[in-house]
Amino acid sequence: MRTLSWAVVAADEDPARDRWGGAAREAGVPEARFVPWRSVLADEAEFGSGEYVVCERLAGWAPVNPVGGQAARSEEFAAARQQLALAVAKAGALPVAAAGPVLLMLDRVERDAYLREKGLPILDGPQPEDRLSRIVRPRYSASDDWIIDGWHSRLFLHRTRGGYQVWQSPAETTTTTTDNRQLGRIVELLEPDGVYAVSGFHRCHLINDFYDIRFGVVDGTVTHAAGVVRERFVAKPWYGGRRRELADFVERFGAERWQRLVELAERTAALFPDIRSLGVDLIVDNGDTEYVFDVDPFGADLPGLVGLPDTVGAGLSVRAAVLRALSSES
Amino acid sequence: MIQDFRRDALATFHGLPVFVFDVAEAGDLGAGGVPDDVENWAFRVGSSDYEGPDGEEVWKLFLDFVDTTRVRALSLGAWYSDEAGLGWDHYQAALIAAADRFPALEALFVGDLPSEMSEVAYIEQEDPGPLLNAFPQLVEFGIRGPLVMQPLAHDRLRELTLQSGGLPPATVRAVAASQLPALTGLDLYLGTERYEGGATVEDLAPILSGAVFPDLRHLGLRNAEDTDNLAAAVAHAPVVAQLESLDLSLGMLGDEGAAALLAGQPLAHLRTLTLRHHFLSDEMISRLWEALPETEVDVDEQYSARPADRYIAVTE
Repeated sequence: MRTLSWAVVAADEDPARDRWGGAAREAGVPEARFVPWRSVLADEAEFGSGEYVVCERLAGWAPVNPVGGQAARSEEFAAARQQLALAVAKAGALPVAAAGPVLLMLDRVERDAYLREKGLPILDGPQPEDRLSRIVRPRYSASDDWIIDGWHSRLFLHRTRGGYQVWQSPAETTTTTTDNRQLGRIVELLEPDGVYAVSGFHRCHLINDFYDIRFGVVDGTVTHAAGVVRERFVAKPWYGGRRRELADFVERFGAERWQRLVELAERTAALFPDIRSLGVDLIVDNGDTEYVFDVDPFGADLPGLVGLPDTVGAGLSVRAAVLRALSSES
Repeated sequence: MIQDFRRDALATFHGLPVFVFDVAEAGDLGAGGVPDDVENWAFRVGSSDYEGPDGEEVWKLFLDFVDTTRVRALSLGAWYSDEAGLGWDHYQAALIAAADRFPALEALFVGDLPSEMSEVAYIEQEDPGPLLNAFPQLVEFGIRGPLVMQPLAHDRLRELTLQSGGLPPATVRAVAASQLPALTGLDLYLGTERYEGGATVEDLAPILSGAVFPDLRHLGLRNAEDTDNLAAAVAHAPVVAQLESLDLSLGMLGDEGAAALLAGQPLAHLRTLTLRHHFLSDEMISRLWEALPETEVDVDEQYSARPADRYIAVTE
């Protein structure tokens, strides 16, 4: 077995750099070679033959006010990602995620149309009567940038001398967004940037919270799973916050349904075989209905969570599981 | 100053992101454990789940597991998981007993409960005086919940925040009588008479005079029912000349109060004027912007209601 040779392409200040460093130590592999996005954009980046290349975001990993700009960022990322793909291919390096499917996933409208066409269950668009229960997210994003979930949101209208902007608060702002008119105005302001709405859904409920289930899928197999609280603000949810342990979900759903959820996540990932690490969010109810809610081509955001037994992620974080998988074939 | 309170626990404190430490078993911390860069996080320690462990167990693990000598900011969650509003005497005693293990502690917040664990009115706080005495190096202190206290004395404290749906007038007078020579920022959530608030301009007079806190640069008289009267008093208060930011947010400010503010002493030196959650007309907002062209005037959360129907942001 050769030593793992790999590079991380990221912006200089992207915290993901450190996270990959931590994952390398966790997985017991050498640290990555860091390739800044600026060198890729300047056509100066070089990769080695057989070198694995992990690609992080070009920008937009940290929330900023005013909210917006996803469409422009997405366009810049698409151009940069194609440039990177050429450099990687030219060198004979190995992308950990292929550009095409990554870019498809960064457009929620196109992505969900594709998933629906492939027979996966996707929530319908909102009906007029869903006005107070619909779920609205940015169209050009696959991460938890912002969300309006029914009347829950961290977004609020900020009034300036030049008009209104949409801002994001560090905590939930129900006092401002319970006003239906304000919610409508927020969506209206964000629309030029691209918004994506689906109908509301009565999520599964455990003790005090409503959850989605987030799966980490590495090489087509579910390695990690945890609950994601959507309808309430949680500070650092996986850093000792209210992470709902798997056993609670399995007990609630029963082994048969749990297996069905795992299979749905893996069926989703199977449509993107050129992406080694995917995050798949399922929105599920207390009965027997579930939909694919989101797919993250940068891998499941589950910091601090170790993987399931008998998988490549056993005892490891998501990133470390990816490195373990890569190193096993080096 | 400390993040606005509406219903959530703090997401940031002392300029640091909050790391929630609410487990009693090290194995429950997950693969990430706690961050290596302890000094770059504010730790919220305590129970955060009705069915989770009590704060006493969480606190014990925190002391065993985290290098507390590097902790710069600490916020206290619940001591009892099932009665989150109670137990602050025990938590305070536990913290005081461990004071020598926090030599780097700069910021402390007590009662950091989201409203789903306890409405603010039902947090039975203790007098924070002994805590401040135990941590002479603190520069920032905040506390949430109704509070009866004696005047404080602390040489280094720069920022003090009292969050409440009803701050008793006697407590406001105690703040005004405190010996806090280094104080630069003061945020008081005055609250409603229904929950024992209702401090008046007279209660605030020593603070408004500017004499008791000579280095004060930020004053927040927030979440007040009589914001119009407060604004009229502030308009002529000597303390304003020394301020860089004035915060009359979360209350019931209407055009009458804002007009009084504009008719009083010059405010153009203010860097920020925060009026968020208000009942001002569009015309009055325009007047404020016109009169204060260089000041950042926060007029978010405009509500429309007759004076009799107005309400403050935080009550129960």
